Amino acid sequence: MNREEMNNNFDSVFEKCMEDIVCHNRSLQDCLEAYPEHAGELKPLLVTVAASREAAGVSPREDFKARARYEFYSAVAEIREKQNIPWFRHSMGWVQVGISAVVALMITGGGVIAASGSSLPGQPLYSVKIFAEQIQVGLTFSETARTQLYANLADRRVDEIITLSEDGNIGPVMEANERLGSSFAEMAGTYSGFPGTQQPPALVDSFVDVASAPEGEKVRASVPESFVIEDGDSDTVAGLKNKAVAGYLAIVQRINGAAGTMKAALEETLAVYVQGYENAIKLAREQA
Amino acid sequence: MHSDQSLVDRAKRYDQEAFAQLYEENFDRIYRYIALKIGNQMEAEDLTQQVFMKALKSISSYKWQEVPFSAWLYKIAHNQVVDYLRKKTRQPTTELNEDITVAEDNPYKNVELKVELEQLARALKKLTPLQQEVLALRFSCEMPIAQVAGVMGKNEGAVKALQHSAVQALRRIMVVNRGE
Repeated sequence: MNREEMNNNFDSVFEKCMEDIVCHNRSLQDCLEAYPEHAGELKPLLVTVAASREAAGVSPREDFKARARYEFYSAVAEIREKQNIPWFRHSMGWVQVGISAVVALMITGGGVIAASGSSLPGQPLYSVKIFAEQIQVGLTFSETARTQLYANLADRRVDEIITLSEDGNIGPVMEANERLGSSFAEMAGTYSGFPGTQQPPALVDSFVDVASAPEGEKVRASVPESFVIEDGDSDTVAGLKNKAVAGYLAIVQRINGAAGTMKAALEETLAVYVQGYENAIKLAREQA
Repeated sequence: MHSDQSLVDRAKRYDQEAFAQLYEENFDRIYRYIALKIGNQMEAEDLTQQVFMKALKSISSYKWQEVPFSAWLYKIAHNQVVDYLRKKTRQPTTELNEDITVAEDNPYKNVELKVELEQLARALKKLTPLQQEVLALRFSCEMPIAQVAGVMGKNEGAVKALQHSAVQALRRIMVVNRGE
């Protein structure tokens, strides 16, 4: 083999390794082991490739993506209108559902958010859902209503986390945990000087409403003391506590069925959830 | 008919589902390409949005040429980046620190590197334009070589040789900037 052929051969080996690392997530070590005769020359290059690929693996912010998508689809719709192309000439796809949800939400101020409600982090419609939620928050002016809304959104995040954890994919669960924390932080941020709680919750055995129990029957369960309904609690506070207990028990149940890092991630979910709801309940009390 | 071509034909008739599919398939990749070229994530967001708005306005003049639709989007993105960098060089700016910190935590020399996006973008700017392009397309878009060749209008062999020399040069820049 002459020098040119050797160079061409190395270029091809290097390309194969680069493709494996860049396009197929293969490890650097695997590539080196596949070509031991070239490992010495390949290693510094592939280290550079792996580090560069990692640095380049950035993503736009979810809220930006949602806004950009909305503006883009609105522009498409505007052009269609100008050209007099009937909106429903083609089948009603998810895009139209998404745009309709957001537009209708902007007009009506609520209730349409469920149109994209089943999407999960990582799915195309998810950012539409988050954007719609942000609009809904922006259109909710009463402090009490906003606290309720944040609590509803937190429950939605918990549903997502539980669904994601069942797929066994830890990354999206961790991301959803952060989003859950952000949701509670935004709620607390609407009230200045609100004290956060950092201690693990004190648990008590109590009779609580759970979805799986027959209607009207309560079930004995160990729940955070702050979630137990007390005499004198307003309807808002009692409602929040009921929701908090339902979410708490759902997360605990999922933790019991999980192991390893997923269990740890769900325990973090629980900690964020409890702290967030304790804040929500205190806020609701202050507003009462 | 090629599925990509069919999709683009529908998009040219302003079919919203076709546009949505093209948008979702390409948005993040175009964003990463721009972010890597300019080294600024926030500004890359605005430029990415502009790329898709320009694509929407120009789609009627798009002609299918046996290359992926993404090649056309990259061309728009490339022009957008060139305009952006041209305007930016006209403005007085604070010089960025040229040092690139390449951390090595692994006891095996050169086994693990860590660079940030901005550092990588600065290092890429020291390469030739073709080297920059091939690495930006590969790293940011995770494109296979055949697609990169299509976007760049070159044959695969030439792109392989180009990326080899580009990574070698990038490596040298990283090591030199680290003071080794």
